[in-house]
Amino acid sequence: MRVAIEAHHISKQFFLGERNQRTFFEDVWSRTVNRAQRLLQPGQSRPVEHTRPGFWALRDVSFQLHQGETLAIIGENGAGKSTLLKILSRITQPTMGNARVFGRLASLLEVGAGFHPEFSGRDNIYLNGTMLGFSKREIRQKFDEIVDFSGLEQFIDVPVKNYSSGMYIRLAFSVAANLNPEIVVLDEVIAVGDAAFKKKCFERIESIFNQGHTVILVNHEMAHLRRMSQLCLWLRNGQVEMFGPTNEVVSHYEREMDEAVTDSRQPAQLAETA
Amino acid sequence: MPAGIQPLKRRSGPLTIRLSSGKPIPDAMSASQINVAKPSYVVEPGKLLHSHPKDLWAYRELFSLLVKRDFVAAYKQTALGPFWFFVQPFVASLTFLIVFSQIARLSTTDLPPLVFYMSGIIVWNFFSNCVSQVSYTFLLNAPVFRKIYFPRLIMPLSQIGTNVLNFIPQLAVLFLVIGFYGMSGRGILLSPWLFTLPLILGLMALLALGLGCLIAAATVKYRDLTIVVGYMLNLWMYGSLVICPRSAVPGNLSWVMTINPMASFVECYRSSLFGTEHAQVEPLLVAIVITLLVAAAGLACFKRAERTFTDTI
Repeated sequence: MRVAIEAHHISKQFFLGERNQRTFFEDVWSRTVNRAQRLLQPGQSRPVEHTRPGFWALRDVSFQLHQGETLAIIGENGAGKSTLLKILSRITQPTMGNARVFGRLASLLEVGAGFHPEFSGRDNIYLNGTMLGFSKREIRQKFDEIVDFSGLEQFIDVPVKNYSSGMYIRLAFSVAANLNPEIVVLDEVIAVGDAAFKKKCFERIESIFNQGHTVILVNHEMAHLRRMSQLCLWLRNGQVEMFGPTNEVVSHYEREMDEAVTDSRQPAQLAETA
Repeated sequence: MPAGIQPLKRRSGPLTIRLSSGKPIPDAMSASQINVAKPSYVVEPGKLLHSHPKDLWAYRELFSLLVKRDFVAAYKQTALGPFWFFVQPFVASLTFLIVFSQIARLSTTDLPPLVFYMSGIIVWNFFSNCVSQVSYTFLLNAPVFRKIYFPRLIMPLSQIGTNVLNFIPQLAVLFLVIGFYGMSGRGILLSPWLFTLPLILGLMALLALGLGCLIAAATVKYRDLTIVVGYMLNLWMYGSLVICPRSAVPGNLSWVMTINPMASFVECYRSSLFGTEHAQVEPLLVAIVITLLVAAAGLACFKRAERTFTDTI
């Protein structure tokens, strides 16, 4: 089976605090003060600005995903799920480690990113599709399918600024899901639609999966995950807590969440023993 | 459970992934050897080349859609629509006509002042809009850049494209005005060098792209730079032979015209249109060298900025 994504020891550090919060003159001033200090005390080579607090959003995350597999990423808020998706879809680069991606990857990280409010749904399908890296010809071929799937035939020539947020997400999901990228990356976007559309989305993901495409998704609804994905990556504080078949990982995860809820008095201790 | 993967390990110790053969992959090297195919892309520190020329070419259709989008969007839900193309240069030219020609009595060579000012204003607007729009690349597109990958340089390039599209109807209006003068008996001769016009516009666009990219990269750290840019562009116009020909510049200020690439470009542009001025070669060569340097520096800084700006803006 061919590999779709290989991630090797991906780490990502964010800088918190002072960096990029200062004005130009403050920067210049602190630099001159540093230089003056070094001139006055030439023996001591002081490390300049090594005190910046860094925050590791991801630490040493490795996994391998084959073509046709569906990977769910779970974890609490701030565990690094979205950061991982962003690194894989080339939005930001890792601080350490690397990832190889085999095949065309389309990411849907936010509802209607890249939509222009003044333009009709039709124009936005083309705009969004080309942003995702598809040619106009490919989009034209799939156009009817996209519109059909979104269920927005009547509104396709209306400017999307007049769409409801539900309609927005339907259109955005339809574009990303119907253009048949080899790899689809989905953040928690599907949660927006109504029940019927959600069901349709999940079915679509399943059928994408059945066509041999690779899917990576972030979702909080464990029942859906069990049904949709075979593999699950559990992140905790940026590190891989567990990686394996969804059923096993999810049951561990749920057990721990239940314990955390019933024993919410000592959450710190729990984290240590876990 | 899919064939091929049987991990499930807790945090202790490094994570091993097993292949269907049951052999663990000890490290990154052997894993990549197993995969003979070439990856579509690799993400790693310091190597996220967002604006590789090959990549840019692959996204050419996005470029044309963005140009179309910006061109059309500017006139949606406006009262005058495309008439704004004509209103702005006319109003500005009339103002200049009163202030610089009637009051300050500046020479406009043999051209009627209205034609002189209008030709200068439309080309300056082209340049200045290019610079200021390109310099907003990261600030305005941050929401999109944070969610979708595509070569970031497509955005500034499409801004330049939109401005070229905006320039063409304005140039047409200028020719209408020239035609009007011709009918009223004051014929204006067009220069045989008219064919060099696209070349000069291209040089201006390259300078604007380089400068805009430099500023865009700097705005990642200091957001208010774009305000400074607005002022600078306003002042810069007065030193760029938009309001008077080189012959009207006093000798002790002529060095400003030499080091200012836009002065040369505007002069060449007007002489490619009318032939009432003669473009000078030396300042033009200086201007081209400066343009190439600025463009190289701008693109280099832009590339550096696009790698990590999503973490800071």
